[in-house]
Amino acid sequence: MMKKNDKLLDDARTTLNRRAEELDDSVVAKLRAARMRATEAADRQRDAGSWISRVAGAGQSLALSRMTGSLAAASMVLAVAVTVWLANPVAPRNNLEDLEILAASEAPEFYQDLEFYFWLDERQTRAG
Amino acid sequence: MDRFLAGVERRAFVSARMAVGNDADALDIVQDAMMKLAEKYGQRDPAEWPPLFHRILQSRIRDFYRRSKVRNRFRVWFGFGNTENEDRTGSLDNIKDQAAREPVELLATKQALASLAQAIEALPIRQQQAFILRTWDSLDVAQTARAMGCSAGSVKTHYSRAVQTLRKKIEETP
Repeated sequence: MMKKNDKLLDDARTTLNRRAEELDDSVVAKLRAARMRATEAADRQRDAGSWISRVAGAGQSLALSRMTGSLAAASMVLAVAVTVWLANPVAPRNNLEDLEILAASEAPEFYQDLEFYFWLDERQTRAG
Repeated sequence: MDRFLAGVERRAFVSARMAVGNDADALDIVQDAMMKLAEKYGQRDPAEWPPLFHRILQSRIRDFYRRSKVRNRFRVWFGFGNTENEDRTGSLDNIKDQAAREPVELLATKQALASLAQAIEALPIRQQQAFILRTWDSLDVAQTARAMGCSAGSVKTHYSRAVQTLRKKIEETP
């Protein structure tokens, strides 16, 4: 049984090898063209990778350049977030004071004249 | 990368050709596999390329089969019949007599090998993948399992069934 299997496997290898060797010229040419395209793609990837490394100033190892690249990307995101935040600041605190006035039972005119009442009170205190 | 791809392209094409049954689809599959390896893993250690390439190639072949199944289903629904990859049982009687004037012994050997090639082509796809990866590409069970995206147990089952089927078909051949 083992011998039969060995013969079968040897024959299978032979026939498959033969198929690979006897490919049509047109197929071989197309395979070569596909390989060239793939090799060019790999070269482009490598060039892009080395450019990132140069920018990051690391370049010694891919892992290091990737980490530096991630840090650079995170810094850029942070910078954009800070810029957006500064351009649209959050509501000022005195909004809370406005809220208190709105919620109070006194008429709004009372708050408009509040400074006058303080001034009057101070005058009376001094006079008294 | 170029040297690696040059070393595997013919084998990859033959594997794909046996699986899908025509040159155009096999070329597409091999080209896709090469491109994906180059673009995604080109910067990896070259020692990692062979298993990655096998895995991508086998995955592309499986994708092709999934798409063919869907296409065939639509063809059956719309009455066009199931024509793609239906002849997976491949008759061994249809071997071309390409060298009728060659010596009898040589001719017998050639015919036996041609029968075997047809029998391998006729294997169900998973058995065929397991058989080719184990026998021709010399991958071990674990490597084959990774390339096929299945368990080691499944590889053993597919491979053993493939060997049984091939042996039976060869014995049946006059």
